[in-house]
Amino acid sequence: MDPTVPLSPGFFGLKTRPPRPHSVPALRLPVRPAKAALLVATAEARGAKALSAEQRLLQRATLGSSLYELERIEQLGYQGYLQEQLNPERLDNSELETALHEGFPTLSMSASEIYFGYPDDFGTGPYELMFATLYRALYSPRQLFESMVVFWSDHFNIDVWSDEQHYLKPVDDRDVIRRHAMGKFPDLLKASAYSPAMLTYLTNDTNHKDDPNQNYARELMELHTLGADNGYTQKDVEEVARCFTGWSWIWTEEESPEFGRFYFDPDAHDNGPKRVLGERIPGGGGVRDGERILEILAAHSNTARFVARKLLVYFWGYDPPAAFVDQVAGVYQRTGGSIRAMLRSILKRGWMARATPKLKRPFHLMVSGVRALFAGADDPWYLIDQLDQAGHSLFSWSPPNGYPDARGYWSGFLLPRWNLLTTMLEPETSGVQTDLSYLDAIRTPQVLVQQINWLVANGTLSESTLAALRSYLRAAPLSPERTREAVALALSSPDFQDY
Amino acid sequence: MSSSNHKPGCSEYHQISRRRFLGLSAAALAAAGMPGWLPRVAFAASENSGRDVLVSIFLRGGADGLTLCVPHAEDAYYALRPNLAVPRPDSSRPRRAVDLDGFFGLPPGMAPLREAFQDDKLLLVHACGLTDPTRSHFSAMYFMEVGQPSPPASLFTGWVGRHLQSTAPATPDAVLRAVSVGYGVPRTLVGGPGTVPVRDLAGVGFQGRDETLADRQRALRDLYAGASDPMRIAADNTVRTVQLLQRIDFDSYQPAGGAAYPDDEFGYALRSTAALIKADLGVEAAAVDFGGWDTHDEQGPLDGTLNELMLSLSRGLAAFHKDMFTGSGRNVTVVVQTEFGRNVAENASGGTDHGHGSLMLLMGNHIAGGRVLRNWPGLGASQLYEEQDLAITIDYRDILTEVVTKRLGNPNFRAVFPDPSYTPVDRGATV
Repeated sequence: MDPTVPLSPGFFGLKTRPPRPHSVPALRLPVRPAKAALLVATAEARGAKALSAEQRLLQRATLGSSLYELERIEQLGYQGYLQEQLNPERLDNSELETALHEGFPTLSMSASEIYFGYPDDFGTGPYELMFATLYRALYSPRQLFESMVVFWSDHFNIDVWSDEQHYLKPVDDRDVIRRHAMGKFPDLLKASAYSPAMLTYLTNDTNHKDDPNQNYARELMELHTLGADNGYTQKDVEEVARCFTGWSWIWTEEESPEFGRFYFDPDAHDNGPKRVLGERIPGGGGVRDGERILEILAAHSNTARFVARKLLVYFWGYDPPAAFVDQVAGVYQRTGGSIRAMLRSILKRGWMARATPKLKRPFHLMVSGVRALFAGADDPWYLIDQLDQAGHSLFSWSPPNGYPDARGYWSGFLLPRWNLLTTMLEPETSGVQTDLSYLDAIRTPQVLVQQINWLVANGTLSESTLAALRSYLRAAPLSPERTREAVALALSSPDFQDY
Repeated sequence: MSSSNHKPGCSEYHQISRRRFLGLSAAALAAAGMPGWLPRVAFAASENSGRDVLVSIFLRGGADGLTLCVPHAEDAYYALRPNLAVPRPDSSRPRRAVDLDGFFGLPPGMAPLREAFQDDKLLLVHACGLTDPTRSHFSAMYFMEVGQPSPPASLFTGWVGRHLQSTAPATPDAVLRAVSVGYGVPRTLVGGPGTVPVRDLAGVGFQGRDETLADRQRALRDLYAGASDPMRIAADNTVRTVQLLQRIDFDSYQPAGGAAYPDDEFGYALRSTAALIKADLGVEAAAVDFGGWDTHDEQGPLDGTLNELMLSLSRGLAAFHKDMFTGSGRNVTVVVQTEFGRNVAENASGGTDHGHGSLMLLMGNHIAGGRVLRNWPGLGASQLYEEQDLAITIDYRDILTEVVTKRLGNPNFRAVFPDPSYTPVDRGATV
């Protein structure tokens, strides 16, 4: 077990969600071509190669591997596949993005346009953001990028249901998280510090020289950069809070292009000299005080280690060796915090071959199930509801530390996971459209289970899982319903819970 | 602790009685006096052991103890909180503190608890908490729930988890010894055998076709039989917990004593917990998280956010008091904790920042209630912790040690609080 801190949601309060907006169209993406049967056949013809490092890379660099991905890595090789994912701008997602922007107009709006365009509507912004996030995770070829969006959305957590976030968080997602997800950490940190969504969420917009509010200052060091109680004191928290006095944003009664923009209020700023982490910040610095803090923190070796370790926990395993952390932290230091360079280091073949098992969190589990089945998702509401049931609603974790990435937190009660994977195979319930008709022609459980193995897990299911599936299929006459239940059981197996 | 020193001599009788009851029809159960909301639960009422069931409530975010239990006799409190202090009981303001003992009082938001206090079932413990200086929510909660300031990496289980580890089940072969009413297992319960998180106790059930349900459950058992430990145990616990909870008709549950649980998330969690406890399935501990207490701005102790939070807390606890502790009552101890208090002085945002000492609440038939237990340090400038906070004069572990040893029947407090430098002080919280 791992010693990370699990914490239930609801930290900041009992949330009542606004009613769902009626204006959101259900976006229907085309079901992936029913090429699955062909892929299964060709994969089987090639035989189950021991592809451990390749299979692991597919699992770790995506939010759900599939036979498409398997074919791709066989074509490009390990390095070629990794290069492709590390350079998402080279992967064409224009068709998806066009559909999303047509279906969900708030994706391209400013805070002002959302706030004034949808008066008294607290749902459209958050739900459109959730739908887009779900569809991008499901269907974007930029899988590593989408995985990094998940990572940073936890690291710089903002609860979309908290005050003012229905029009601020969608902007933060686009202009902070997505803009810098694979860029440089110092740029991401700075963008977050200037983000009205973050300034509101951690109440820095009330941080005034006459009485500083320490909330952002503390979490900036504890959660965003140095790590808890890791090289700073209460005095540092107080001094950092002073540096960020006056960092706020603009709210106007009337619609205005300035609405929802960052604003530094010189009258609220404490212009006296400060001392932070042993460095003297001279008086009269104005907005430079906060910027200097961000520079100090981004350059700090504890930040390099904290970010490096967290990335290793996310991509490699719950308990990465100290030598790995040192190496990735070294990459951070040498490259000015290049996220891409750290990922290249972590995802290298030698380390992926030794990566340790991790438990998929519910969002990852759902996305990987839909991706494995090449399924269309007609009803985003249903999938969003299932995430609620499993305790992993998108952008809805209240405390600022993000959803836990720890097996112990997610493995206590498996029922919501099993239920989600069961209804996924019931199109009339879930809206998840899967064409499995080619499986119905197969008459023997043995062959059927082998096909399911390729489809669900790229041929990696364990012998004991295969045996359990065979005995399920042998216990009653074969039927399309029973076949779908066997697929749901394969998805519910311990093999598919991990990655 | 060995299994020999709890409930001597009773276990065999209880097993026999359970088997006997399991065979009874619903009509026979009704005739035997089983309440109607328990149609398929078959355990005899005599199943209650001498050990209390623990209900552990954690107020996440750092609840402001100086509002929850107002030191109205402290001038410094009013000096440091010109806008946020709760008016004295003798104030002419309509919303003011209700006096408890001449020194402390309850704010309007906590007033629903006055009855439990006057009934001597509710104890407030002030200036108490975690002695570690951290002001990080996450560190403070971690330390407090593990049960030790800055614990070594090897100590990551929770204090209740270790209590359960070090005692035999109060009900032999109980499937479910502890539940967390939430999505995950809070640190407090980590490490406990038979511990499962269930967000909605009343709503569990398998999806899919009914006609294949038994087959599919068997297949799931097969699938997980060979899995590695955490997953194998999780699957087993899940299947057994679902089967157990489906026996209880939570929706028809009738609280005792005319108790009405408030219609909010906390009230619902407490009501389900009460039904689960009364079902006598062998559950020994329940953890309920209650978030929202990190009131950095506009905390509104009389008419705002904090008032709403307190009302939800106090109404839920008041209903639980009526439901559990009227008449001869149940063997239940409620413990309410928070990770730290808040600065004595208010900030410019109409809120308060992270502080130090705070408050604990205990409720039960064997709690020495009807008073505010404290060794009050004072709020004068020289009396404050780090010149800004209520000092801690009672280690929260003193209170919990008493609960563990006297109410939970576990004499081995060292298994629960292993820090060798810690020596518990008996504060007289229980009777």
